[in-house]
Amino acid sequence: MKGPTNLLAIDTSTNRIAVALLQFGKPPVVAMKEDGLGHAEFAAALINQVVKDSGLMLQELGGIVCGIGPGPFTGLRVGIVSAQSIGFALNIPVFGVCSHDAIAFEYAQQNPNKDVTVITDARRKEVYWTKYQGIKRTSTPRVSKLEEVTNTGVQLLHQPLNPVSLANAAIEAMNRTEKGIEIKSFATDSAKGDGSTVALPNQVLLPPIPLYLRKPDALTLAERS
Amino acid sequence: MTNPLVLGIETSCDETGIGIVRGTELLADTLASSVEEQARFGGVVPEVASRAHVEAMLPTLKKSILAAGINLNQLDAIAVTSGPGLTGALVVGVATAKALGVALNKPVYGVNHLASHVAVDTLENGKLPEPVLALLVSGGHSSLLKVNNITYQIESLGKTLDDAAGEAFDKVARVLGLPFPGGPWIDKAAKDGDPLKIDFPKGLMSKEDLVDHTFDFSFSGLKTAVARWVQAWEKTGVAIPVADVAASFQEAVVEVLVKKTLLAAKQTGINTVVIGGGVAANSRLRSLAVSEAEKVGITVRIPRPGLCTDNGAMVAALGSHLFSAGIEPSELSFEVDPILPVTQVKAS
Ligand SMILES: [Zn+2]
Repeated sequence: MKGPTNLLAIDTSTNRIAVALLQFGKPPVVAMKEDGLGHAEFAAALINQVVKDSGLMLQELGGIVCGIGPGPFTGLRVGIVSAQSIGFALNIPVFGVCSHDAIAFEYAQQNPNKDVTVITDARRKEVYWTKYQGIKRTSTPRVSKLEEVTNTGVQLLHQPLNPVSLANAAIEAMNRTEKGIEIKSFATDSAKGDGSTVALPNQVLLPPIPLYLRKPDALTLAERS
Repeated sequence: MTNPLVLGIETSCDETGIGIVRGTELLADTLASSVEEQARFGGVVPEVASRAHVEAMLPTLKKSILAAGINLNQLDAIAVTSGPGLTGALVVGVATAKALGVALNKPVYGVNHLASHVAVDTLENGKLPEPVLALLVSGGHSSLLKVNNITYQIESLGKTLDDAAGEAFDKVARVLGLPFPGGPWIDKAAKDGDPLKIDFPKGLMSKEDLVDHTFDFSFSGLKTAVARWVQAWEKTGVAIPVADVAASFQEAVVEVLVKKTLLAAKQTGINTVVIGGGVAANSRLRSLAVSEAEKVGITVRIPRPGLCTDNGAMVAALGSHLFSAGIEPSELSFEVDPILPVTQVKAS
């Protein structure tokens, strides 16, 4: 992706299905729906809507950015596979952004360089949390009980996500990268390791794969015996 | 349009399947399975399956397009399993199909997995007679259906009251120390065994059951009987006769399936039966169904084993029938339904 471009942003890491289309020099077009169980139902329709409302053709998109979580997995996957599929069909690049990065990015626009902890619902009486100094991630995302979140700075509790911030976080990261966009891979999976120890590379643009912070709820035959 | 180009996506359980058909001609059938991953757990773990679908989706899609020698813009429609199945797994396929539909501006059909198991037969054996009977047996379902029209009218004649047939194979395999999934291993072990050695119970075949549950199945009692038999045998200290147990168990399942299916044919006067689902890959079911049906003048149609187990081609096949029949695609906001009834062929 080079130069000004039209960027589609999708995030389904919270109860909000959030889609935005950013065109160079124009206000962003946003479509959102609050429905924690309806991601697969409504994501495609919301994508369709922002494209129509922006007056663009899908073929005019230059790239897609999707939130990779952390977030409840079933919904989270919807945004990611939607982004991957559209990117594949249109032959345009797809980037992942840690969804908490977008929340921290938005907060930092008004409150630069503060110590903040982004906290979102992980269901099962737990939360996902990540620490930031301004827009800089200072801890890898974790999942735990709310009481176990170490208490420094401002807590941004149960924040839904603004898809415009997701896109802007990605755009700023692209602008900062001088020699093209380098994306280091990371493995989050899967059934094998303990998901909660996943170390997220300290960069904004990431591969569009889900950030799993929990193992699947099942014991292997070896673990059972 | 008589020969539409249709892409089918299947993610209802642990197979990521992409199929491409033109009319009833199969162009590509590509599969990625998480079965090896699942085997470590001794069964299908929904979250493991869902994760695997995300990883496998694009690579499988690319392979399939390459194999078919088409590009996505040429498609007339996209079909995807919307149910029944595991919610988290279904969601991955449905999100993919909808996103492709939006990106390519193509109609999307959310379709019934069970109806797809019937439709796939047309890729190998041509047009279905109307009506036709269908026996669908797998790890997730055991159903006897009357298919009046594959695109909109299917009736359920009977189904399992407890375990699916394939589930019984998995559980008995575990009892016998055979790997998961159990079907192919039991089939293999049974080849060296005596199917008449042990008289295992045949579910819902008693006189009363044949009145109250004429076309229903039950495999839970059989599974328990096998486990008890093996437990009792273990006390003798002699090695378990795995081949005989496998053969006798398999015979009990297959006999019930074939008898009830042929009874349904007789009672409904329908003389063609389609058999599908993973258990339809079982060699004993295939041979007994054909030989018993022949005796009473019934035609049995079974696709090759690779098309009996879950795959994308079956979804594409049903999508192709729906499109050809001029049936409206699903709304873009159609839902996944883990318990979608077979009477609903297409998601609204
Ligand atoms: Zn099936």
